[in-house]
Amino acid sequence: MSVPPILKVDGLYKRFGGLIAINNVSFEIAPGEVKGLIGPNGAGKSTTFDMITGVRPPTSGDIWFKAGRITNQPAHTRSPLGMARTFQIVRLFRGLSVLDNVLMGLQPKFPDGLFASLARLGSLRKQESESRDKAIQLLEFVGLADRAGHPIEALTLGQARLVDIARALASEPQLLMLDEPAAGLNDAETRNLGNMLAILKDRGMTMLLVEHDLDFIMKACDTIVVMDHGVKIADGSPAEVCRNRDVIAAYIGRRAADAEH
Amino acid sequence: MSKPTLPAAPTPTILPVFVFLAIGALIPLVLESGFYIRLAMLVWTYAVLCMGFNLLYGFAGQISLGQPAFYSLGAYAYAMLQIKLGWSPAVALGGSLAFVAVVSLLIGLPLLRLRTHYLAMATLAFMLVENGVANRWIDFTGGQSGVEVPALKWAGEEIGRTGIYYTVLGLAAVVLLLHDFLIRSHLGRGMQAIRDDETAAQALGVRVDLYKLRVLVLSSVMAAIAGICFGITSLRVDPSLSEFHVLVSLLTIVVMGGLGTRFGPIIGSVIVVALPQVLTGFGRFETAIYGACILVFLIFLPHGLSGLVERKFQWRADRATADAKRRKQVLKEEVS
Amino acid sequence: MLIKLSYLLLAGLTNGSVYGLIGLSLSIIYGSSRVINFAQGEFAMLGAMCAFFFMVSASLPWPLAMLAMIVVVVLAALALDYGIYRPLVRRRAAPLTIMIGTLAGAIILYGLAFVVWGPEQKFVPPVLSLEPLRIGFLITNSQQLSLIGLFIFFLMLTWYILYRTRFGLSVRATGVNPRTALLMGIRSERIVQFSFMFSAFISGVAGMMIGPLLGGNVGMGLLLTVKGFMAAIFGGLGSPFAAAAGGLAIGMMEALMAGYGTSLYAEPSIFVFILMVLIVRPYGLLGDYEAERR
Repeated sequence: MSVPPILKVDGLYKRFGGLIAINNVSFEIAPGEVKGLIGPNGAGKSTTFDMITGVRPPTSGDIWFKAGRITNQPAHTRSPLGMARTFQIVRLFRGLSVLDNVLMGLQPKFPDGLFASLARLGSLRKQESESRDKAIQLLEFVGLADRAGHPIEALTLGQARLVDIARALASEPQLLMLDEPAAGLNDAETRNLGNMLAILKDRGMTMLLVEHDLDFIMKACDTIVVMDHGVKIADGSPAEVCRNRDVIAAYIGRRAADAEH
Repeated sequence: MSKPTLPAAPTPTILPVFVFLAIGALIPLVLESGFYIRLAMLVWTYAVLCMGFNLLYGFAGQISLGQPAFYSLGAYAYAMLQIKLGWSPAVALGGSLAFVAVVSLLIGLPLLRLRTHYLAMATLAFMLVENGVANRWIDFTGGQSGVEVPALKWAGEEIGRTGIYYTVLGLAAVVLLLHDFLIRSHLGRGMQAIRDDETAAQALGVRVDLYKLRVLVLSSVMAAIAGICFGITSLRVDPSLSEFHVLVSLLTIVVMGGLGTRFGPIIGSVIVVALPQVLTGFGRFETAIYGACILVFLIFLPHGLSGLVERKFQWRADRATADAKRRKQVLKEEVS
Repeated sequence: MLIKLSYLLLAGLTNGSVYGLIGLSLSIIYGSSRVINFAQGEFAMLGAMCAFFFMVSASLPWPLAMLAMIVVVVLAALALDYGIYRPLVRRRAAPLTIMIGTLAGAIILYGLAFVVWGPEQKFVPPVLSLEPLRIGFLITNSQQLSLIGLFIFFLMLTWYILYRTRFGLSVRATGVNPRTALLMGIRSERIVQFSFMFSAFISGVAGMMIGPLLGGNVGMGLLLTVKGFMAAIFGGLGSPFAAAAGGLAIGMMEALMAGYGTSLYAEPSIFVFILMVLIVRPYGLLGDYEAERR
């Protein structure tokens, strides 16, 4: 008897005009699992990620989150359900301070709209100050509490990534999806990020990582899905995936894969 | 060793709002001349119009050059509901705001899909349509000469200038409080997030399209309130309410006052209403100087006069820093 | 029947040429700088008013007057570039802020013209003859025909510059990606400056030629700007030729509506129509070009 998966991608298929970008991709993520999604350039990782996060709908196939079908639900419905994401190109709100950026992760918990807010005017102040405390704690977790009042321009790329993660964590997601979190980071920053993800994993956070950096993903993930040319070519533990002929072929070339065996 | 006092989080206080309103309430007591009271009413009218635009463009980042159309529609609806349907002023007020809300909803649903320049041009087209109809549908709108707005009455008698002034001030106070509440609350944060990055806001669960539509409707209703203020002050509505010069005044006010600031619309309105009084000495140069003022502010004071005092959004940052310090203090105390 | 239609089409073609030329000018500036120039119609106003000034007040012959007019509008364009566009771009102002800046520029140009010429309608003398000219059953005049000729000429000139010269290639590259263009050694400020001057030149000449037909006054710029905007968003802001076609279409619609329906509501109905087109096709009727690029 296995635990039901938290995310289930079933027969995902995406066509752009005449080009089949994603062909029949399926995988599952169990609660507490850290799943990696890798593949060479143009393998369809980003398209798959976009479909799971609701940025673009699949041509066919289904996406299930916690027993609910979310295939064609728009992007804004993901966060209240318990899915949070970060961005490869940092997309923080430039006009807001670091703390306010993290607070935006809590936005769906606030009353929605002017009248709803006015009706709950009494409790709003309390909610705001509690939210701020929580946001500060998240900034402490990523080690940026002393930057709370800084503008976004004052951050380095690595720091901005961490703020993005803190912002995603603010909504208390059950599934955290990270889009190439290590891209553009230096070694120290990448190690720091790896440690942080390890702590999150220890706390039981389920994660989906799209990544280029193979070293990073081999250390961070329990299981890895490998894609090539829009097709899933492997799905298993890092060790299994490393031995997979198709994976070696996709990454290094067919001949290397043959030589290995 | 004395226990260090916790730094107070500088919650942006509502105090300045009350200061502005108190000054507003004192004006009729200080200035006896009807001319100055009329100018003060014009200041409040423009401030209300511009607060709506400030929320829409300064905070949510959605430009609408059609605000004068809603300004004019509000005034016309307020007058027509009284004249043609015989509604009482209070009911006509509610009715005209509801009417403008519906119109802006119908305009916003399709147009808010457009972005930046296209949105600007499309809303400008809407203003020209509204103005064209107001000018041409003479049987209904009275064409160029417009329609008369019934004077406000209290117990059967027309209320005097001071009474009208306090009515305008009351309407302006409601808008000012709403404007300030929105900016300081999580809703203001949400609007700024949409302005900065719609995709990221969406990923965080913000219903971007709905938010934009709501802000557009709210800002249009604020424009309509301004139109009604104009109507009860001047007792006449005509097509000049949605002419180009209103748009120019609006942009001048928000640019000089400071776009996306808390008090820019009020400060800008004071200046734009006072400026022509000072500029009358310049006679024919007035228009050119108006343009030069906008330009100088855009280039040298992009956050406007209000920005000099407020430092755009600085209070948000200060508050965040103070939050962090307080939390650090708490942690330190827990450890010791 | 047919005669009436032909007259209407001719009138539509004339006005449409002017709207098209302004739309074309707007689009050229937008293409190189992503800025909507609110002062575009003011260049046409300057063209008409300078024609009056140099030909009537200074009684110069028309070629000299046209030259003097071109100097004035190009100077105005340079003022717009150095006084508004560059300072704002260097301060990293948002595109819409720059748009508001050009609006300020338009107000200043209008205000200065007001100081010089006052609010009265001025008689702008025709460059060519207003004498009736008979072509088949149509009666027209050479001034009217020259506008249509100018429209075709400027359209071809723009096409030639954009697609047949190295300089035009730089212009197009800057429009697609100013930063990359800069890396490849293209000075985008120069390109933008050229586009301001070139479009002011086009609008100025259009203003000079339409002056005798519309009558000249310092307030005429705004209406022309608005018609140019509508032309550009109707056809598609992304391409000068789409914008020009949009202008022709608006001119035709105006004329046909005035001829067969009521001239009273011609203008608002056209704006409503354009709004509806925008709803269906957010980047204009012919505007796929830009939509694809986003």
